[in-house]
Amino acid sequence: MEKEAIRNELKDIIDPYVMEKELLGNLSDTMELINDLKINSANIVDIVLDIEEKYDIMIDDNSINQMNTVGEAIGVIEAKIAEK
Amino acid sequence: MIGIDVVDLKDPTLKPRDRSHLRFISHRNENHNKFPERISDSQVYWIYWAAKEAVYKFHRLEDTFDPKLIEIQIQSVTSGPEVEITFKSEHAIGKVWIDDTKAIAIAYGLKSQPPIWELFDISNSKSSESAVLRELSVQYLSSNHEISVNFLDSKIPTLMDVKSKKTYAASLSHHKRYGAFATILDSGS
Repeated sequence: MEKEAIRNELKDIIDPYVMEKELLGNLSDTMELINDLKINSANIVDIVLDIEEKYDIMIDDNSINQMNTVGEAIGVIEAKIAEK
Repeated sequence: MIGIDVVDLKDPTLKPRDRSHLRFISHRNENHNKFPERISDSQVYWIYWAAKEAVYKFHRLEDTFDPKLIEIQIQSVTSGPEVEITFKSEHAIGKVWIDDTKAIAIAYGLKSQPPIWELFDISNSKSSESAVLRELSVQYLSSNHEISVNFLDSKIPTLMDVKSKKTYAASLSHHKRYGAFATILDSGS
């Protein structure tokens, strides 16, 4: 699956958790989910659960803390898809 | 130092939690079986989450919050209209209060004075939650503790007494309907 396709799907996944929708207009790999997109930290687990369901993958316990940025989240998704 | 966290459990974007979700936030040394049956699995999750966030803020670090690195040991559980939990961590002690609508956790130093804290309803605020919460906190301290303070322009919340220029660690948290603020005034420097 191409990185750009994952980025677009990830954008759809995080959309409900981003209150300031204009932030999604300039989504880049370096943007931090909490500090830049202003997603409440309590929702990070919700995003992980959405990703697991969307891609039918299991995000292992430690990977959640390697998903601080959009790019890192894409990287984890790519790696888990490759493991399937 | 002081840390506070509030979770609006009525936030519609929060998916239901059960004990399986503790895998995302658990420290390897934690025992999650210390709760009486009346505490739901969802509440157990949010008790740990809020306590860990509060301890993270207590440390006043700019590192990314990693709940798995913060060990929480439950000390006591008391039930009433809301459940009160006391806990300890490596360098902090604290309390969590939880009911069906919200979870609030406070962490403070083992030898510190009890914190001053307040919960606000910020659901009708027009400007940013952070700005509203800071304003409400300053008003609260002025009205209830007769101290005039301002927040310093810093990433980690710090109060300064307008007259004495003493500074105090503070902590802020907001989530949907709720905003929470805490400080320990005797710890000024």
